[in-house]
Amino acid sequence: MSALTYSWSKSRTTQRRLRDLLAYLLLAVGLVWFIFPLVWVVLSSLKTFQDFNQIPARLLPSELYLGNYPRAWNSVPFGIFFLNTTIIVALCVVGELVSASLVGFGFSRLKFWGRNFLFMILLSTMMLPFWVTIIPRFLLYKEIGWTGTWLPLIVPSYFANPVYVFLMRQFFMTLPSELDDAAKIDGCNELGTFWRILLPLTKPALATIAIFAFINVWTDFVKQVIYLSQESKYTVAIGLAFLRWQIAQGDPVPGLLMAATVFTSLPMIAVFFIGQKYMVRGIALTGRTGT
Amino acid sequence: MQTAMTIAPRLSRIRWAKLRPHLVGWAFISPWLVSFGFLMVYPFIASFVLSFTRYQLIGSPEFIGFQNIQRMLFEDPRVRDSLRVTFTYVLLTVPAGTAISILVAILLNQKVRGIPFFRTSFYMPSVIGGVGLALLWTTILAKNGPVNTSLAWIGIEGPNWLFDTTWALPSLALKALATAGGAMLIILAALQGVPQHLYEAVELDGGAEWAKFWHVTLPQISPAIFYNVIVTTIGVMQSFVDAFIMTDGGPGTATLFYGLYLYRVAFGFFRMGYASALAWMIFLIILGLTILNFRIARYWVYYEGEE
Repeated sequence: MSALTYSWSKSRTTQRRLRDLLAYLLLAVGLVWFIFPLVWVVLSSLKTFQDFNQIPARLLPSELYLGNYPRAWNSVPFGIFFLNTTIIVALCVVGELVSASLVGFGFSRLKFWGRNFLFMILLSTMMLPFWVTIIPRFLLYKEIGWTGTWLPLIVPSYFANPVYVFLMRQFFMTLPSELDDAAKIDGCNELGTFWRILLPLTKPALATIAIFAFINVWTDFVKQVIYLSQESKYTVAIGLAFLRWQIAQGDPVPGLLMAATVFTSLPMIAVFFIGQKYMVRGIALTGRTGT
Repeated sequence: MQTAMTIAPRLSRIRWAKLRPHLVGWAFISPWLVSFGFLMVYPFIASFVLSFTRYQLIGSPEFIGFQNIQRMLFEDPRVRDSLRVTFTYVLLTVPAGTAISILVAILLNQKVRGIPFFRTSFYMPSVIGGVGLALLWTTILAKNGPVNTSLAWIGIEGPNWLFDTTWALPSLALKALATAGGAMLIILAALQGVPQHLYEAVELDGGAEWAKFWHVTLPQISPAIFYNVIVTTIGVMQSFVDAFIMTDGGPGTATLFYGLYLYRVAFGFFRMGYASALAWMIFLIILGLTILNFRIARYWVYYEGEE
């Protein structure tokens, strides 16, 4: 190796190092920007009331105080709310999976009159503002006696959310069409092809939808607050808002609120860590998030 | 059908064979057709009709002509307030949010170690979402919170963010910007889809890093950016939870989002007719903005196969 190429490659390495250093510096800034709030809430949930009143605010709690957790858990009936939310979420996830895979299969593997036109309509409904349909929906549910129950939250998920249909369709499109032909030759009808041949291959897409649906339903505060009126039917999100109003009205325990925020977010964090791979894949596949 | 079969069995069998795939197709998409009819088309039309009525859940809707529309456009100061708040919020969050998500996505696309860790961390706040995240930011922005403590280090006395008429809306915008994880991942996916040979072409031409970014990366990811602008604009125009939880629209009307006002009219005062008129107006505004976005897109979004 001549001296010239040596020094050239050396300066190239230095340049590369500088670049990496800059990247890490910016990544660290990003880390503070995105993660510090989460760290703060966890630390705050361990603070005593006295810790909160100190000026300037302290980062670390003076002692490892766990008392906020049981107090928050008991201040509103979170046990019931967790159970309620779990039931609603589970039923919704099942509904979204069944309906999105059926409709997604239809839009991707079958040819029928109006398919492309209807699919365009489906895509455009994703852009329709929530507020423009909510009032008649509410009146419709009221008419049939569903307001105050979980039905308005659960039943629609059995009738195909366009976002998940789109995701399923995109995934079905990646599977070779020879599969359908082979199934047909073997005597499968469309339902058989769907159920026995293609659906088992879509597990990653189904996992993606399950995760997105879980997170969306768990955090879907607006609909819950509109449709539910009895405390016994409330969800975790409403419970959290409930606690916030209680505290706003004079019970000054920020630690309580932080503890409640931590334990109500845990299911989401858990699902996120388990399913992150699928979420990222889903986003890459559809070019959109599942919300 | 039965009689047709007995009269001309062969013809109808052919017809059935022709018809069958279409019927099967429609059967598969029927769950969506049901929700499209009952939860989209019907409410869409019904809210339009309700806009011309007075209806407070008692009795039946009473037709009142253009009274709601007149009230909405000329008499109700809350409508003007909430539109101003909402548009300001869009201006504070959409351009900055787009810029941040592009920058962070580029950062996450660097070939350095530990990227999966950073990607996870940056996306996590977006997952928590909803009420929990709103509460979290309520304490971050508290008078005695970490933001003001940090400001105190450099000698600035921070305001009481969420309770200050001037700062309440920017505070909510700040919160929105710290949770832009979804947009970031969409752009990251687009970045990873840019064909490598395009970069090699720039290298052969002796182009620098900047040229690569300007002539290859940006045009290639512009459809993803455009998509994000559309979706976040529509989403931000409908904001509700943050104002509902963090500020309750206040102080005064400083954070009275249109969505929050509509919610109050509909589900606080149960004025379904007037709320429907409000809903249709926000629909038309969002539609207008979306069309405008598509128009502007002609000048900056690059699509393969054009030109």
